[in-house]
Amino acid sequence: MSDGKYFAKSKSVELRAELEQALKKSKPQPRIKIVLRKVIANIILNNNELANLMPEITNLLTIDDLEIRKLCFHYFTNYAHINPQGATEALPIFARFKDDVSPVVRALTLRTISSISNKDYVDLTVHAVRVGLKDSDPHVRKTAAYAVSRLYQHDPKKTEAQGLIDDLNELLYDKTQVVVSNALASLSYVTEHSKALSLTIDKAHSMALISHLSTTNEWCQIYILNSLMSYVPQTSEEALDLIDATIPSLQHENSSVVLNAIKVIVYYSHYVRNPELVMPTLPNRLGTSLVSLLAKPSEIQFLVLRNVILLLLGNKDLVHFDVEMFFCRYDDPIYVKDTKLEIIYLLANEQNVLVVLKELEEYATEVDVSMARKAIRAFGNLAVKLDNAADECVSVICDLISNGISYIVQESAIVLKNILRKYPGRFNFAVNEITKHYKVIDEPDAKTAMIWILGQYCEKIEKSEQILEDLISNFKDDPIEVQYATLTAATKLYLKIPEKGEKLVLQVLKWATEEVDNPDIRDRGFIYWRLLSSEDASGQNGVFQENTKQIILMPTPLISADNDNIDPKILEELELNIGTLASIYLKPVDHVFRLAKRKQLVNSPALQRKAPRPITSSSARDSTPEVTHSPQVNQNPTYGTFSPSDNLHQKHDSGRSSRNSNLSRKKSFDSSASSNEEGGSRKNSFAKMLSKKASQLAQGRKGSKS
Amino acid sequence: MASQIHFLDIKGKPLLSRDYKGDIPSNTIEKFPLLLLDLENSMDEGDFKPLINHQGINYVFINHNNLYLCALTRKNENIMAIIVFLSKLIEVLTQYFKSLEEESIRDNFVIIYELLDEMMDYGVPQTTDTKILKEYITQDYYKLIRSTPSHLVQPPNAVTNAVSWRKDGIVYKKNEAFLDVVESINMLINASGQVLNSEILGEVKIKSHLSGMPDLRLGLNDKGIFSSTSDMEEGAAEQPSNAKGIEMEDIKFHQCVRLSKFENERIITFIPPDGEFTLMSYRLSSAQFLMKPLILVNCKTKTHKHSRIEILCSVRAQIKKKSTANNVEVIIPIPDDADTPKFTPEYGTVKWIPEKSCVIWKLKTFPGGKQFHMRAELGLPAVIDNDDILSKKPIKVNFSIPYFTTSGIQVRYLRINEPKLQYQSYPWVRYITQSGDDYTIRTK
Repeated sequence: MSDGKYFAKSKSVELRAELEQALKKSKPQPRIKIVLRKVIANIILNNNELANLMPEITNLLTIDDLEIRKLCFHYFTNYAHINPQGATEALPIFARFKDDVSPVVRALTLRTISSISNKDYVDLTVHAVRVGLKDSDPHVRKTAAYAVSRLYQHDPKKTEAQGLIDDLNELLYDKTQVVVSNALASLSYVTEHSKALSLTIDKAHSMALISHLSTTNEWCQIYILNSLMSYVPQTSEEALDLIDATIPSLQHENSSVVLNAIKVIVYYSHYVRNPELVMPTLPNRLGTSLVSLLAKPSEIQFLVLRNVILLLLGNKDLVHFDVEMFFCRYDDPIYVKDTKLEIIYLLANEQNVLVVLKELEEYATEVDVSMARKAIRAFGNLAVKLDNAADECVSVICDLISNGISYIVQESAIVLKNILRKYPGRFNFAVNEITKHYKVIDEPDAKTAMIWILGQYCEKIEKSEQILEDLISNFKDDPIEVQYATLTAATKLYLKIPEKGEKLVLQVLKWATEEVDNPDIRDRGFIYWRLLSSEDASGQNGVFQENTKQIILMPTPLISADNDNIDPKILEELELNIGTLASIYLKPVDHVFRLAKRKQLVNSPALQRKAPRPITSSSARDSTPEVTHSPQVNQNPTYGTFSPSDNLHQKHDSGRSSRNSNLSRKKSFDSSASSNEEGGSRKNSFAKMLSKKASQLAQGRKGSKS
Repeated sequence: MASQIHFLDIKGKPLLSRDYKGDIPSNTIEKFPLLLLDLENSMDEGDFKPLINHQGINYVFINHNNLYLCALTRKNENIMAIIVFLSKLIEVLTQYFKSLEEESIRDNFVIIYELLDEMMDYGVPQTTDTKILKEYITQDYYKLIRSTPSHLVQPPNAVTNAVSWRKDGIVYKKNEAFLDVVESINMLINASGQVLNSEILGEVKIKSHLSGMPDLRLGLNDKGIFSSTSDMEEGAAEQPSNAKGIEMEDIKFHQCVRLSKFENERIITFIPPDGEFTLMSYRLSSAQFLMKPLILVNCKTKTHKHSRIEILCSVRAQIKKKSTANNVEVIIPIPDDADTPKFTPEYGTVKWIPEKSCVIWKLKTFPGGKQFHMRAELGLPAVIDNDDILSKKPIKVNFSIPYFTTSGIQVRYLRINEPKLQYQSYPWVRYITQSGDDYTIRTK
């Protein structure tokens, strides 16, 4: 028998009649259930008219049958807000149910009434929850824990004022572990949304929680692991103990448990000096447990890979990977391939560069265009990043160019520009190679790069003026960045080879100043024109355009891959968010989630503040160059839209960050004070959360501000 | 965590929705089809991902049998947990309804609502274990039609029990436990026969038919991976440079295994769930086990443009002489427009599968150490539009080798102890090595 046949829009009148029919029978239950199924089907069909059926459904609640009640409860959660009048009339029945003998009914009732945001229901729930939290059945206590969260969502003030959060706090001492971990999950929701409350846990309790890890189910483990982030270790030994205790969770079969365990370990490792030296096997353990998740479905792979990037950007000494593990498979979806490519780039160093280049070459000749482009871009970035790989990279790029395939040539042009800037004069042969194929170039980025190359190397290129003329023939329709490049290149050409460039430069300047609407282009045009025609252009000695040359032909500043640091503050926050959405977007949390609470490492004597990057890297093993991204190298940096670099480093709002650091000091002072003071009494030593004191302090601060 | 969970059809039309928190308007999901379309259009730029962010709402989704399962959230939630939950949801529903598709969702919407209520509370995953769910949410509703007074129904104590994966009072006449050690080999080999990367993905599966609450203890051979890891850890402390000697990587256990006991004493102890489950999986990046491919394929293709393509292929089983590989399949890609195949295999059969553009060479049994050759010739159309697009599809190989594990892992003992019942029990063990999803040889 199937329920599919109940899918039809019904009117409340019809269903009411059917119900009346059913109730006339001596055994009405089967008929009633069928009607109720129709009702539920109509909920799916978004039929709000059925809210009129509320009185009849209220009546049905009195029938002692679990299935009927379940269906009725479902009806109420969906329609109570549409028919508040009717819902209020059902209140007495719910009030009776909350003290039912059956724990199942009690739990269901709690869940239902807490989901309804009417004021009357909130009042009822407050009382029901208070009793429910102390219920004899763990199932009910667990449901009550979430009911507190729901209440908090409806009416935070009342929930706090009624002391429900303190009651919920008491559940952390519950003897059933499932209840404890669900209480933690519920509390973390409340604290995430409250400004004044925060979760603090002491060492004894965090160790106790860890010991629960092995016996609870997978989801409970996640909540426990998450709550471990609320404990601030005071000494390195403590942090090491906690890391030790968390390591077994790396072997769980649920990927989310693994990732959360990694988050916890990374967090605690901030409180240990050189964790990778103290625990030499740790980098391998972390690395392999991540890699083994790559055998999962591609969505999970993707999430893991994004987090691998995050770890590599922030903490690359703490994790160890073999680059071979990230080689793309033929049937990986494109988003996985992208991310793998990015990781390959990050992992490339002097030792493995040969393997990496071979692999990249494989991708560059792939049928998939976007993959091939990204591989070429990776070649370019690698050449800039690793000095001794540059020769190899450039020769591969030249090989690829020689095929003359349009998209390869275009991408190569962009990449070559960067390489030429990094190693001026070293790869002039590549310039000749690319100019052979200039005809296929038509994309703005590639064109800009090509024009720049032509301007810069015009004296070394045969017939450069003809090529340039060809490229810029529809100057007026070109996008603005191409126009800029054209102006500069034409001027350079004229300065270097006046006899060939004169006609062209006049033409371009005329276009720019007379026919282009954009004021910036016109201004630039006028500036060049004035410079070239100025009386002082040729200097005192009368050398042709000497002063102008000094201005325009100045050597460009060298670019390099490692002069860019991602704001450590942002990285730090992202690391505390491993496995969450922010780790996938790799953007500062408050860019994506405006209302999110800011997370940061809380100060403690053991906290290891990272020194600025260059120093750590020089002390790190061998002389592997810094692995960072290179946004300057590229106008549209690295691959894909999720590229971390452009999002991560643009935020340097100094005023704001200093304010934050002040705040953090204040906060940590509060927490340490409360944990020291209350260390004495037995119960307090066992996780005193949301200590009243802390919240009073916070409120006091608020009060003084206003 | 998740505010809403939706089941949608392939076009993104909602089939069934459950709102857990009420902090997102219920019509938000109606935007999903459009967003999906946008996403597919931008796929060329590599923008296709399992999540969309639109106007502050995150759509996290996975695809299954022409269905989308989508979770919505506004906040910076634990996305890994959400995705794992969605895939477990598919698993559970599949076990309930045999197959999960549009029709089975409509046919079972009431039970799905009930399951959704039990599996998640306030958007937080609760339990995803089918065996436990089945205890109190039964599929056979029409059995329940005689009325059940609600005070007779108790929540199963397994949900809140310390051992949440096994109920009390299981009885079998004959107490048996079947162990399967399965190793899947993934290998990436380049055109010249060099191994680029390789890994062994091992699994120990157990089918338990045991009464009561048995406590099991699994012993694996000394020579195997377990002792070597502990050696490695001790050695590593003194000589980090040696740590790379054996690359045992990552064992993952079913939730029933006592992880801390394993961590400290290297003993695997557990109370098994009833029926079939995967006790542990492990991964070996197999440089030290797999120097050379188990099944080596050497394939030369010669394309005579506009007329025909010639394939010369040889396979060699580089395994012990007394072992045999079964059901070896070599899948060789060919151009889409090839036709009129002619095959001359030395052994086995060759088939042309035009819809997948490949030929499959099947060898039923393949004794170790042997080598076989095959020649194939296919016609190509005289007129081709663009012949320079190189298809770089790799050759794929499937095989299975019974009574053999590549890593050398072996079960020494499986001790079964039920403190109350003290029955006699019989453990059975099987080994098999097979090709993984990704045993491929690149072509030039």
